[in-house]
Amino acid sequence: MGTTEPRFVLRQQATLLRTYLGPQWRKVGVLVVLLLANIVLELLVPLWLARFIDQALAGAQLAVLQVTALVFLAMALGRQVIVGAAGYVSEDVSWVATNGVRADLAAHCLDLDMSFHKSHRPGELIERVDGDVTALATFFSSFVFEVIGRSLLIFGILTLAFLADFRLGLVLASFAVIGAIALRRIQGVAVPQFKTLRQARADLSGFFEEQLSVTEDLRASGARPYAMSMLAGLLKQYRVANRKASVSSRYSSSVLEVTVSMASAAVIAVGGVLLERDAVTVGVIYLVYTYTNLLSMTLFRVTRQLDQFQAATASMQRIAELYFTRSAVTEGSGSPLPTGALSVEFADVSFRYGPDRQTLRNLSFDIAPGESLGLVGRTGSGKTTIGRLLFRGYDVGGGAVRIGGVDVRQLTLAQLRSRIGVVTQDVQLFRASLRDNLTLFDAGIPDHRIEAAIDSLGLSGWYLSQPAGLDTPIDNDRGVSAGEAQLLAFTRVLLREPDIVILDEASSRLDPATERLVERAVSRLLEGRTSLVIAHRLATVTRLDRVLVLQDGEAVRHGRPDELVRPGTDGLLALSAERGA
Amino acid sequence: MKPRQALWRMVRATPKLYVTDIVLQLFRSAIPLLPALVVWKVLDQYSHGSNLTSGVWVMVGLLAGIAVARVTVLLMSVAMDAEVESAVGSMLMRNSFARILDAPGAAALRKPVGDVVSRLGGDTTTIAEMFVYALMVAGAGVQALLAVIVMMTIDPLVTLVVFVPLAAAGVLINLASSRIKDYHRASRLAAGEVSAFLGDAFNGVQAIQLAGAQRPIIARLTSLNEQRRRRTLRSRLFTETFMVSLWTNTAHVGVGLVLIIVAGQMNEGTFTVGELALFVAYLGWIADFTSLFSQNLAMYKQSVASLNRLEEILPAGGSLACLTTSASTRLVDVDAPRRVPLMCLEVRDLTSVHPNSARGVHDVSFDVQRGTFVVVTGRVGSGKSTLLRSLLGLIPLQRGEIRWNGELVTDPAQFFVPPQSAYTPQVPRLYSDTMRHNILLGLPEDDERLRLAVRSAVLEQDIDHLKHGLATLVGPRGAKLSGGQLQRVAAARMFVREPELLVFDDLSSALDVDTERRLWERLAEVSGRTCLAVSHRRVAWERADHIIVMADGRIEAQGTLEDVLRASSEIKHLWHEEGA
Repeated sequence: MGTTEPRFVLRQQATLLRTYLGPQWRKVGVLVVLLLANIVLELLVPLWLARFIDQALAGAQLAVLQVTALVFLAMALGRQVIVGAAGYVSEDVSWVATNGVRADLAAHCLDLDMSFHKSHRPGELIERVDGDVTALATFFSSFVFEVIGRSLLIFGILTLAFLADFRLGLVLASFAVIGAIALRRIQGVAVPQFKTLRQARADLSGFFEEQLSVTEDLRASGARPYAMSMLAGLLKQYRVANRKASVSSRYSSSVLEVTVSMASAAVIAVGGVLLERDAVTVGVIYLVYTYTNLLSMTLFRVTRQLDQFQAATASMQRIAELYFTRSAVTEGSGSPLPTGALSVEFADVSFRYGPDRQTLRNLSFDIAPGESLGLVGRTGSGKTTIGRLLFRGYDVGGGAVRIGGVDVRQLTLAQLRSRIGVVTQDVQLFRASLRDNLTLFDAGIPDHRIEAAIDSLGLSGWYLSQPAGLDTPIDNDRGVSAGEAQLLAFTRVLLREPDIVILDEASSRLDPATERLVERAVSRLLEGRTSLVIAHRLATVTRLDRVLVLQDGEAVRHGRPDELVRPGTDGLLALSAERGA
Repeated sequence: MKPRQALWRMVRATPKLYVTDIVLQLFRSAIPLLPALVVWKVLDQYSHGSNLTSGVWVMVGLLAGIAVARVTVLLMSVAMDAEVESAVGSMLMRNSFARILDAPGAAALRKPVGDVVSRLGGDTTTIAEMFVYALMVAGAGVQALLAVIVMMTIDPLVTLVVFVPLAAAGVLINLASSRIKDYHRASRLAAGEVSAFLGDAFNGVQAIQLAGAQRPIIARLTSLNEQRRRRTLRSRLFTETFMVSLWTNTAHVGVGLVLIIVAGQMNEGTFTVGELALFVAYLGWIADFTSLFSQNLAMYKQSVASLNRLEEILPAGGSLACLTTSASTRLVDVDAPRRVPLMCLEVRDLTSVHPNSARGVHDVSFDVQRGTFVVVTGRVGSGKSTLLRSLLGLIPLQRGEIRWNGELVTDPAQFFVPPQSAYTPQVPRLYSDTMRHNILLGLPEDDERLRLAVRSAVLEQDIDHLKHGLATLVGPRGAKLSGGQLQRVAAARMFVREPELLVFDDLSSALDVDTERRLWERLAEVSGRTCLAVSHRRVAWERADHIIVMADGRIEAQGTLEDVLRASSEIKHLWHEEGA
């Protein structure tokens, strides 16, 4: 979990800045120059006004006054250009930086293990990777430059005030100190409120993301009132969080406002006393009075930046939480593997998903290179888990899984997964072209290879009916039936030419006739490869070399398919297993 | 309904909220005008050489008192702003969501989920913030008006002249306004693409990991990000950078003009130092108002774009009117449908074709009698699921009649919900909540009814195995359950509603043969249950009273198993495959 320890936060911020602003140093340099120029002009403007007042009161000539006024106007126009340019550059810098954070964070999430993704909804992750990072934008765009620039401005104001009159300077300096202390004390108040607010928004996003994917179920179950009442609850939570965050974010500026009024009053009173003794001019009193307001505005803007920064800190903490979430599946050091088909070995493997129930108990079996093994058993018997352990979606609780004689945990994930192809029941499609869906955005796979793979799966007919060939957009999962989606998944695997193939209830959505269609392709896929086939249907399993029957995470039977088939049943392996157990 | 009317309608929904807010805004804006009046008088006394009178001290005290009053009002006003923001956002989210749920299920989303989520979050916020700004502008407008009146009483000519730069800035901004809308739209569009892609990526994480495709996925994300950066920068250049900088400094330009004009008058002593100080202060406030106003104008344009974007995610027939309806009763369905016991369901010439492909069902006719078990079978793509879904109103019908006890069903989507019917889709989705909540979905807790539903769904053994039983959390979309468990939880969800008609779409996909067999056995345990199911398993066919064989979107044969085995080559083929 994230820590609120200031030093840690500071270090995070420094790292963020170095990592994401470093490469943009040229633009950052331009920005710094613009900001410095702006500060100088901001200091000069009131000085010029005070000069005008004193000249006027001293009865200077009209021409002199007019020149002072024109210079003033020129400075005002100059500032306009500078502020506009600085705003644009800082916005640019911040987008480049936050896009960097987005990409890194998304990459990190994509590397996290299955247990992480099974407990974080995609909508929630979108909110973190996109929403929270957007909140961070102010940190990059204005915080750094504004806070540093404004601090310089404060220093300049105090110096000039002291030069004008040291007593008035002292009044101003004590105000600055009191203001700064007050602000500092109140600064952290809003952080937890903003964190709650962002969480409330993330909950809303997560809710919508989930609900909108289940509209069909919702309707058919008549659960609309239920969904609406859940939404009402979340909206209420959001309302409360929003109010608390808004109000608490104004505390610091409020305190400052009261303080600055006191300071203005003090400047006017002290100035009056000094004026009586002819120690200052009216122009000087007005100058310091203006500086008081400028100082307060500067302090205010610094706090507003800090307020926004509080929001950014909350986001930063949530980003850090995510970023420091380590995958439960750790990268192996890499180890040489034989080429070609690989053996698979489960040695005394135990596994459980949570404290609830042992999913696998002391399971041992092996598959020789090129051999095929069928896994059958009731739903929930642990079949799917075996596949997941093999490609390290999870790691074993006890025992070891080896391929080619090497423990899978010793291999790098890339090395391991490049050797394994998996087709699962749930095919994950992307809103992209057919090509990108098959290659998963790998531009290095030439079209003729893709077409060859499609052809060998007997999908040519379907492929030729696609209006734009490989460029046809795959629109969500509409227009593509569950069966076709599965055929696409076969193509995906075929393209990667793995040495071990896992088919997890892969053909379950196909009717027997279509299944036969892909059977040729499946046997081609399995040919010369080691395979693990999770199946319900006899037709699939009878062609395999051996079959393992699982029940409650244990192997209850093991043998050639013909040994396990009981004549007289209509070919139900799972059933015979259960009766035999 | 025009966007303007829609926005106004939202105000009328909760007028008290807005009136309260605007009253607070008036105080919040008017109070800050007071200190300048005080300083004006003090400075004039100073420059006339009449020094520290008791009046000066009173005024100094006033400055402090004014600040406390202002801060109190400010905090109240900020809280109220947040209420307005939440109220607007909530109304839009609630209405959009309700509307989406109202539509036929499968046709409900016109945009990818990630994009819809992004719009429900981002666009509602844009609109809500616009309202808050509009209220602030109203307050600032009154403030500016008061300031102008004070300035006019001091020197009308100078007051008029200083408005020149403000007017010039106003013209510039209006020239840019149509672009603002286009640019904003483009940048929101790009943002939607980023979210949608992230959604796909996180949903497909397993496929990505297995294919080692992280790098190309991130490369694509980066290019979408880059597109958004370019578009947003362009949009911001106009809305913020250009305009904000224009406004914030216009006040200074105005002061410069004042100095040039009053130089002579100050020489003569007809324009005082105190008056100059007042002009400088008030010009700042007026510039603030004009800046707020132009920002609000820009925000208004963005809000119209956002409203349109929200309208786009509403299902067909959705309009701005339903987005902004104030009926809070929409939160809960007022009248749950009345149960109409099923005697006979007649389907005639049902035709439903996918809009984007030729796939669909044509001229399907069949009957379902009370207490019977009807099985639909056929190859992949033969139209089995489409048949069920079009019957249930989840996808639109092109033609055909559905009669329930002889009475025409005019709106299947509204009619085929519990207690009339319930449905288990081919790929059921669950919430990340407990199993119990997923089954009940808001129904009152009734242990006996729940137990029966769990038994009918052949789920009791699975639940016994779980440490927390029905209180087990199922994970996002039920990801912590196996495919078969997920489907049976969905079946229990259906059974617990005790509908007149049970509809299953292909349990065979995730259930082993034995479990499916038991499920059909238990279905018959409760007499009078009527069931329409897609299955391609012998166990289902053998129990069926009536079998419908689909091929290429049409019924190839229907009747008892014996009938169809004789009449249909298709089922013979399937029978052979299944038995092999």
